[in-house]
Amino acid sequence: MSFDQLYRHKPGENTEFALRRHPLTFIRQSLFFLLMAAVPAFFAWIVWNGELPPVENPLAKIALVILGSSYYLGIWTFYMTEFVDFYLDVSIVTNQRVIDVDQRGLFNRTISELDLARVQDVHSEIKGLVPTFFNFGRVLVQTAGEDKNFEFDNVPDPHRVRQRILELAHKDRMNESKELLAETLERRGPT
Amino acid sequence: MNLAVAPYLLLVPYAIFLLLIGLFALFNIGHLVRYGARNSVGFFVTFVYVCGLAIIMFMTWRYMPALDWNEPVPLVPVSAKASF
Repeated sequence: MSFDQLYRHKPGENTEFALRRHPLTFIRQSLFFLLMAAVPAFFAWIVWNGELPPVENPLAKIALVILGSSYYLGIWTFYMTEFVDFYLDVSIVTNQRVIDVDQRGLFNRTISELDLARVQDVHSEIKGLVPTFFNFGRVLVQTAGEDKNFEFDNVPDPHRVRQRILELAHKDRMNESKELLAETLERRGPT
Repeated sequence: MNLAVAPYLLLVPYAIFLLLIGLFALFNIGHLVRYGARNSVGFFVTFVYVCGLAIIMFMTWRYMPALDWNEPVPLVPVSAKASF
């Protein structure tokens, strides 16, 4: 996946990795969709032998077909919207910052970013039977001062993610210190 | 008195609903294209979604009764009315 459309690279910035919710977390929506799709089809199959209910009035028959069609179009589009919500929810970690893209429904999209040098602590957690079995969980990035904390839910391999973010934050702080030192020395001039 | 309605009138709310679904479909696909899903997953999902829509529309057409859409149809069928 290309993340170029999501953010503008700063000079010397490289994408390290991207985090997306574990695919298993989308199963709930898929099961719900399957259940919703199966109920009318099940009734048609069992009660009316795969045909429409035997209604005499052509108007009622048309209304029934239209209702059924609208129902299936509705749940199919709703399922697609859920997928877009799931798939476009992404967090990108570069060697300089963390960018969190939060897609909520179709008309609500939030993008926040955090400088890696401001990362104070990273906490990872795997809770529950299924997450333990499939190794996914929560990563909480705590920042210095009053900055907003970043939370990545249901990401694969959270402990490794925590480790990587801490390493990158350490590297970024070192680079910043080096730059600051070089700047100070330059300002002082040759001694 | 038995009211008669032209069947095509039932298609008007359906057409409005289809327009709404079309709008949502465009938004969904537009989001995938615009926000970085121009890849095999985005393409595959869009393809499956459009196929699903096509299947639903085909089934709708298949189950629609064949009749003259302009010919008014009584709300209560004549046979049912006769039994009262």
